[in-house]
Amino acid sequence: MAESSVRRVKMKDKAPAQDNGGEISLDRLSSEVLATIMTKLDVSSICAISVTCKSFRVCSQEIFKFLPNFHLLEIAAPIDRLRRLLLPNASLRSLKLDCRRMNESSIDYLLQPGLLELSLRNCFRFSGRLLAEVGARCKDLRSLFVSSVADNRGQLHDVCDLEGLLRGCTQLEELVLMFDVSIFRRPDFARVWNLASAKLTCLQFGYITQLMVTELLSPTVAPNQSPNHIVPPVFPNIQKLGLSVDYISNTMISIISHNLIHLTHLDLRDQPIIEPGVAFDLTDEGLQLINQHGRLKHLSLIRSQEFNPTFFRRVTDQGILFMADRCTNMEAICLGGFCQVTDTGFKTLLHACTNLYKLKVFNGTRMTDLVFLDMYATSLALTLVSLRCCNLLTDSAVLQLALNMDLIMLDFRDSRNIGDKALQAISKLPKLRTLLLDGTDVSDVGLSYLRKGAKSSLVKLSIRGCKRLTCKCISSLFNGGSNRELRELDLSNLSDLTNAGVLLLVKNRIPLVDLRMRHCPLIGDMSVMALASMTMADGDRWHGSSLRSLDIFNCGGISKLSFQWLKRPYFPGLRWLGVAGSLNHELVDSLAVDRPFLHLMTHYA
Amino acid sequence: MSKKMLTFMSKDKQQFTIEEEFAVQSVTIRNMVEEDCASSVIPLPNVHSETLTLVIEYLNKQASVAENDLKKFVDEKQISTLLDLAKAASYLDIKGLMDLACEKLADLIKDMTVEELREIFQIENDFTPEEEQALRAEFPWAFEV
Repeated sequence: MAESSVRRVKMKDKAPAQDNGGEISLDRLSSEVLATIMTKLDVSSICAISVTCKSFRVCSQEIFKFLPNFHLLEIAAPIDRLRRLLLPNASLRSLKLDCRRMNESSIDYLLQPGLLELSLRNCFRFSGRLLAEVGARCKDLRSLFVSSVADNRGQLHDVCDLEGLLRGCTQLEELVLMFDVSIFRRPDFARVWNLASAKLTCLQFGYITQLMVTELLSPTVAPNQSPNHIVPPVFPNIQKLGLSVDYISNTMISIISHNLIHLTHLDLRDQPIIEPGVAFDLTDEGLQLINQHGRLKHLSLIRSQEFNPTFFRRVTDQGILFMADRCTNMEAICLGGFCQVTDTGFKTLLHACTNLYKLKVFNGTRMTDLVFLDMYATSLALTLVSLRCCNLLTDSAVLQLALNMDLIMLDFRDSRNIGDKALQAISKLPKLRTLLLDGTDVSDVGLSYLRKGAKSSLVKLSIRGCKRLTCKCISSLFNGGSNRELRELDLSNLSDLTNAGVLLLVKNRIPLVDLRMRHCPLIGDMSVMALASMTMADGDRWHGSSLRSLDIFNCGGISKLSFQWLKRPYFPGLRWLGVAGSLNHELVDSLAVDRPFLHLMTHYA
Repeated sequence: MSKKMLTFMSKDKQQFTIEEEFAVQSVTIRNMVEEDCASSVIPLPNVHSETLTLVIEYLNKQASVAENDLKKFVDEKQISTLLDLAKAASYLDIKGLMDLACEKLADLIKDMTVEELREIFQIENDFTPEEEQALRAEFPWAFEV
């Protein structure tokens, strides 16, 4: 209450100046309303509103002196632009920026003392000193997210920097270091974490070796202390742990489960180049050790296929059954690369965990429809389901899954045998917002089931590379005014998609925000022109194209003409563009000059 | 024991009653009550009856309803209604209602262009074309990238 009266006084002092200024004089009460609205806006919107008239500009300039949240993530602004906005601000509590165009000289502007929450992405040009500076300047920090610090610079990180961070930020609750921490020197790395705040509940590393994890979590008695000296556990209060490691091993799982008493969320991922030997791998024994303290709610164990087809070959149904026995309170389970687990294992998990709302399985090579046969006997609480590369699954499984009427997201990418009958069942889900069907067996007929007139709730749809789709897929989806809530559409790798299809999209005035058509040989200049000239009527106001992301990489018919239509003032909201650069160097360069803040992706992702 | 009621009179001379215990969530009203000037009808010349109806609805709901449900109070309301609500909340010093209305307004105007914003707030552009151009060039990403 006092705060608002203080602010009102501030605005009252400003009012006379505003009265002398523009034609319209805002009455004093409106100033307070305006200020309050502005403090709840993101930075770009404040900049936009400041251009409306002189008095609003004055107000917005003041706002940056007491704005609590400064969030600008959609573009990477250089520091010279932000200097006028990142004023010394004692009320600044949360800062989120994309730092790829900044370096350490910007630190004075970024690291303001009152910060509670700090998120700095793409810190390629910063060294590890950034961490030490955070510790020195932002003593009240509760949450820190930094990514890509000094990535690819070939430098070793200095443990002193980490020490500076941990010593300084004594209130830290959440720490996410999304870069390779394995290049900090051992054993200093393990020792330094004794300084971490006891309030730390959430910890995530971009990459760390399992050996370092083991050392980190098993504190050793220092040589000059008696063996009876009880060592306080490192990380006494961690609830959420997320790690990407070299190998997920039994030893590491055992140490994590044993030492982290309060663990509720465990997220482990590895991408080995060769499959590890038995001493370094996850086996049934390891799974039995999970959730020793009974608090685990979210578990994610993923062996990614990124480098080589590697799997958890030593985990069988037995391990899963033992785990299911101890983990009946689980709410979210993600399993990737468990190629030896059969229907018995998966089905037991599904039925044992009555609070399960999220189920994700990648490469469930032995998973069949039988897993979902008695779906009605479960608690039917599933809202997020992803079954990718599960090629034994057919439409029958989906018919059963669709009994979960609260489903919000379904992902069947690369499960080749999911087809039209599945879509018939899916179309009945009243709350479905995301549907991913890349590489499945759906046809135009199947997509037409998704036409539900005004009742559609679908916001994101992906049908990449579905071989049976023809150009009629667009009319199947949108005829009759259907699917108007759709904002993200991925039509990549559809060899039959033509410009006529895109024209139909435009005619139906679907206000898409994200449209992808990578590798579509028949898509060309006509599509770009149609999308550019798309007008949305909203009463008597005219909107330009609403697209923020457009991907026309490697589309067969893109020529110089398209690049004219990609320049301003077309596509006013475009932030991200995928287009082939190899044949069009000059054109791409000239586009980059015309739109300096556009994120251009010109090569294979 | 009967509850003490207060009477407000809107700009367009309509009268509204509300229990005093709910009304004092407005700091302005609370001050009036404490200074003993709230005995007869309280005139609110800045607030139209339509808006005052909503304000009273909020004050009555605020005591009993959970915060999440309270957020629904501002759903499906027009921008002009929300602006009037925010102005009334500011005048009556009801922080909760002002925050609620302003948050919803911020959400609605978030992705609007400069022209749309001018229309919504009924502003006349008092910049010269050169001035406006210079301003837009300062932060180009906010307008077109």
